[in-house]
Amino acid sequence: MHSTDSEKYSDQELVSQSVQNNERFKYIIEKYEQPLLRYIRRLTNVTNEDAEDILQETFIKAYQNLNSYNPKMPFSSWIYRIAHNQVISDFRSRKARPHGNSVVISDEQYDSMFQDDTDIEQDIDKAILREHMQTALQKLDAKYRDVLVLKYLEEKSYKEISDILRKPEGTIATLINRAKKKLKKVINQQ
Amino acid sequence: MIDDIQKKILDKIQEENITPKPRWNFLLKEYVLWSTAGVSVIVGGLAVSVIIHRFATSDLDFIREAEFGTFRYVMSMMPYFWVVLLAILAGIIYYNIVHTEKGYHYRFSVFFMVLLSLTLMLGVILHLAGVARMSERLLLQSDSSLLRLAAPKPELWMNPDDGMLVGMIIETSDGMNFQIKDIYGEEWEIIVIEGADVRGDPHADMFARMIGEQEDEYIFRATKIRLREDSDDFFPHKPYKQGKQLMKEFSR
Repeated sequence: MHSTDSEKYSDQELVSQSVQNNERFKYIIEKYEQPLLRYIRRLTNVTNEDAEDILQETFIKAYQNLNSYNPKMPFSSWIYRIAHNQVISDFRSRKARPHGNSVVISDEQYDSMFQDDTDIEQDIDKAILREHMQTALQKLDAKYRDVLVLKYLEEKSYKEISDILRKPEGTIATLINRAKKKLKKVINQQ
Repeated sequence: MIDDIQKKILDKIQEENITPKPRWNFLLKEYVLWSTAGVSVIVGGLAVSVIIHRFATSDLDFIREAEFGTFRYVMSMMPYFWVVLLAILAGIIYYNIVHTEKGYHYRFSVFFMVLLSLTLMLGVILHLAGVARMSERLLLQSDSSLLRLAAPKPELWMNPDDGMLVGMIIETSDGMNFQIKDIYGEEWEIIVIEGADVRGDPHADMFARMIGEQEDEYIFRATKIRLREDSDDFFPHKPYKQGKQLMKEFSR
């Protein structure tokens, strides 16, 4: 077996193999550890070590619950959901409200977030706005921040976000709209 | 560092002998959630049917004439136990469905409308099938204090001082007058005043709900009377009618 097995086999195949043989689970870890670690860091303000602990718990939970995975759903949505729940669980155990780390937003991600809104860009310089947005994201409520991170930073579809957050797609669309308005408001106040 | 994470996870799995939970665990949970939701819908339907039954047998036209006021009359009629039970069940159904594998796809408004339609439809069907009536009679007979909470309370209309009286006709006398036995077993002479609003022809074993005024001890002058053949719905705890006999009669 080579580490390229994580690319050679589909997620569904890797799940089936992992249920039979725990050694195969390493290919799932290999494929998802970086995206999930990045996602956890975007949602939390914990240290790197703590983020890795959350990641480790995420994979352990995923392994224990492999048989609950429904192959009709993308595996990435399923494991992102576990990571999201683990982040919430970690916040509760620390009794702290989730705040994200300083989020780095690329030009593409910025354009994608405000592609339909030109008015705000006319008033504020784009570079300043982007810089403000990075801190503004941290000031948003977790529910708004979660959807913006998933939609624009993790580049997930509405369907995927719906599966990750276990909310109807219509609710996700509403949350994203509201989150964008809240974000603009926070940016304008800065 | 990444390799370290991989190693840590795999070592933990090995050392703590962690294994995937069997599939049946998840299937069982899913079945339990859906089954509980299904049972809750049925009990919710029963609650709705009882609520319909209560209003259908409550002689709503008495509201305006009730001495103690419309609000109190309506409040006295409300099947609180069933309303509270219905609200609790709605919560259980929502929680259960949302926590199933696909339940989160449904919006609350859609879920609420579907649930409302289902329980209302089932409630109407159960009411028409006579299930609510049977349930009321069984509850009235019950010795359990919890079940008695859910039972109808004819004593709420047993208020002669405020001009309301209920009872079962035991004998008719000359003209329209008759005697009743109230829910506490006391016998009353009912004088039906001339021009009284009487619906039905009074005869023994009928249930009578009356508005009027108390003339003397155990003498009541009725101005408005509503009669029902189904006195057992209100007085099923007659000593000579036991549960099994009631069920037998009902199924006939």
